[in-house]
This record gives sequence, C-alpha cells and structure tokens, in this order.
Amino acid sequence: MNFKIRRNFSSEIKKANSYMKDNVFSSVHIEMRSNRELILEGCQKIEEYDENIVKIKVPKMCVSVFGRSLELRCLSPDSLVVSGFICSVEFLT
Amino acid sequence: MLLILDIVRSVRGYIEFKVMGGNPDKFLNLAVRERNPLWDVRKINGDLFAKSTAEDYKKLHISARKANSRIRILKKKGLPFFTRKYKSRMGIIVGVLVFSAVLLILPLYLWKVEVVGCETVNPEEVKKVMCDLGVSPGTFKAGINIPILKQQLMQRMDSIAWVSINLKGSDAIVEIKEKQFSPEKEVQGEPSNIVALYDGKIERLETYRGTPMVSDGEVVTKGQVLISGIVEDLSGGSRFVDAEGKVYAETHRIISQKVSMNRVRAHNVGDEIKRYRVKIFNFEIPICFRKIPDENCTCETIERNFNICGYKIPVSIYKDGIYMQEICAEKLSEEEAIKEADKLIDERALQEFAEDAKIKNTEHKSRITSSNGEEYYRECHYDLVENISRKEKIVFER
Repeated sequence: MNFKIRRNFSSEIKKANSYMKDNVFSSVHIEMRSNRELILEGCQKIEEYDENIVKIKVPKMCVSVFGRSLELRCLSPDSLVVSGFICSVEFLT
Repeated sequence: MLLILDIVRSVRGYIEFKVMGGNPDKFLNLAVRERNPLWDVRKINGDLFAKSTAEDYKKLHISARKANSRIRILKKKGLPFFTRKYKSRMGIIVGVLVFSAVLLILPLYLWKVEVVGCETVNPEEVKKVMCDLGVSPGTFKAGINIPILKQQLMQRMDSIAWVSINLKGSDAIVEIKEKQFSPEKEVQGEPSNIVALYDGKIERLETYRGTPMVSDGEVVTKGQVLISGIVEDLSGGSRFVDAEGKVYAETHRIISQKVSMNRVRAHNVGDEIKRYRVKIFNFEIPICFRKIPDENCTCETIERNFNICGYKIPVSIYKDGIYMQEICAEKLSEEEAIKEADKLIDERALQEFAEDAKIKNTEHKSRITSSNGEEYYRECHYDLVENISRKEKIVFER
C-alpha cells in the first residue's frame, strides 16, 4: 500500500515538473514601450535579422517584428531588446 | 539606469566592430550562445555593426570563423585603452589627481588669522591668544566653535569689549572693539607743598593750586618750598590745600658711567652652514639634515613667505645660517670705550630725564680710573630746563 502511494506521488511530481517546464518556464515574455522598444525574454535563436525585420525563435512559435531602423539594443542568451520604429509584431505557430 | 550601464561599460572598456560577409545572423546566434555580451547591434548594407566588451572580443573571432565572416575593429573606447595610451605619461595623471586632492583638502583648513580693529592692543598678542585657544593657520575649520571661542578670547584679554570672529573662505577674521577706560577721577589728597627736586634757576612757574613762594629768575636749592599748600583768604584766615603746579628751572645734571676695558668677544670663523626647513601650516619639514656642531656656534634664521596675487599662503621657507664661533679676550681701545660709555649714558639720560625736559648744553669728561688700565670712567654734564617740582606732605606737629 505504501509503495503504491509513493509511486503515485513521484509520478505526480514528474507530471508537475514537466507542466512547469512546458507552460511556465518555457513561455516567452514580451514587453513593449510604445512602438519604439520591444523587450523579449525567452528567446532561443535569431532566425533572421535585418533593419526592417527581426525574426526570433521562441518555444513553440516564432515572433517576427516588422518596422524600420530596427536595432538589437541588447543581446543575451535568453533575452533581447529590439529598438527602432516597430510597425507590427507577428506570431507564427 | 542606462547611464550607469554606459559608465560601467566605459570603465571596463568596449570595442565597436563590423562583421562582413558570411552569415551575420549565424554569427549573432553563435556569439550569444557563447555568452559573449553584444549590444547596439544594427545592420547597414548587409554588414553587421555591434559592440562588445574588450575582454570578450577575442572570443568573437571563433564565432565569426564558424559563420564564415570577418570582423574588423572600428573603435576602441574605455578606460583600459585610455590608460594604455597614456601609460608613459602617468605622471600627468598622478599630478592631476594629487592637485585635485590638494584642492579639495586644503580649503578645509585655516590659512590665515587676521585681526582688525586694534588701536592700543597689539594684533600679534591677539593672534598668540587665538593660537593658545587652538585657532591658527592649519586648524581644521569644522572643529572651530565660534561662540565658545569668542567667550574665551574675551576672558583672556581684559582690554577687549566686543569681539566678532568670521570664517571667510580659508581666513579667520577677528574683529575687536577695545574697552574705553574712563580717566581717573582726581582726588584731592592731603595738604602738601611743592618743593624743588634739584638746585636750579627758575625759568617758569605754573601754579594750579596753592601759594607760589618763588618767582621767575630766582635761584632755588634742593628741598626749597616752591608752591605752598597754605592759602590765605581775604579775611586773613588760612586753609591747607594739596598744592599743585609745575616749576621749570635751569639745572645742571651729571651722569657718569664706568666701562671695563677688558672684553670677551665671539668671532665667526669658517664657512656658513646652511639648513633649510619648509613650513606648511604648522608642520615643519626639514629639507637638509646637516648636523649642527656641538661646539660654540650661532644661528641666524631668515623666514621667507610666499604670496599669490598679494594673498599670503601658509607656506614658508626657513633658512638657518649657522656659524662656528671662537671666543677670545680683547682690550678695548679708548675710542671704543668712549663710544660704549656714551651709549650707556644716553640710555640712562632717557630714563632719568622727563619727557618735557629740554637739554641746552652737554659736556663730556673722561679718564681711566684703575692703575692697570682696566676701567674707563666717563662723565656727562647736562645743562637742561626741566620740571623740578615734587610734592611733600605738610606735617602738623601736635
């Protein structure tokens, strides 16, 4: 009986961990300041970068930022800051 | 926040570079994956421009090689590059830092103590008292308690009625107002006569109170009553007063002086030994460490102060001139003995004769008194007009 309870408990913990990993810790956080700056946390890779388009791969989708004179103000392994004149933001799943 | 970030990046040093050819996007991803910090990334005409820290720049070449790109440095900015550029001129930077420190530290201390408003009080005396109370060039300004200092100064100096102490920049200005003492009230004393102090011939008589007993041109002897304290009134009665007056007479005075002919004198021998000291505020720093000889020597000190645009700064240089001395006995010549005797006689005359005495004639006489010529005797005869009045109490016999 005790072994059965212990086995169910450990499997539940595993399920909770995978849920957290997929839904909480792997989610992307985007913050925008007017249309001049976009802060994105949770990026994995830069697919494309140009002064008119920035394509960023995030978990489960791809975020495209369209505009002009776009610059990557700051780059780090899991976040970046895009500044310039942002016209639109697309989410491709 | 961004300003702080810019300051930190400038202090650490950063490089602005250009990535040409190959796959710039791949380069970006590789660089970021290798945890190389990048910022201000922009693409112009296919070339990627970015900035990175000076330390991590070397690692970017690996990412560029993998992305088939080339990196070229455009600018190097920050403190490490600045110091490397001026490494051979570190003295200038150190000098600037020392100057800045001096500029910040020196105004915290007093440079000068100035005393204004003195009429009869000596300003140096006030400065000495202030120094005793702990206020002098070199005192830390923030440690000065002005109200207590004012009280202490007035307690120490009775002649000050009011004092104000102001700290103006690095100067302490002490303004004082002296006490006005009222003149002593003349108290009429006991009945007295005015008698002659010396023998003489009366030239002028000024009677303020009493009965004059002599007239102008009369010869008087020492002790003779000149102005009597007994005053007779019109009814024939008499009263006793404290006689007051001045009696100017021609007198003959003699001042004599003996001078020893044998003298012990010290002569400077050898070269001058110079020693220098620098005084900054109250700290003396010896520049020269030459030893003063243990034998007989004399030292003359010359102080040199410095001014900047007329403002005296608290830096002085002292020069000590040390001379070795040889003591030897010598005999004065007659001229030297006369000169010394006359000098001593003149000093005594200044002390003995009153300020309003007028010397009409002087005559000198001199001779060697002792048998072996060791002593010289000098006399000076003065004919002068002076006040010979002296008060003498009237004694009543019962």
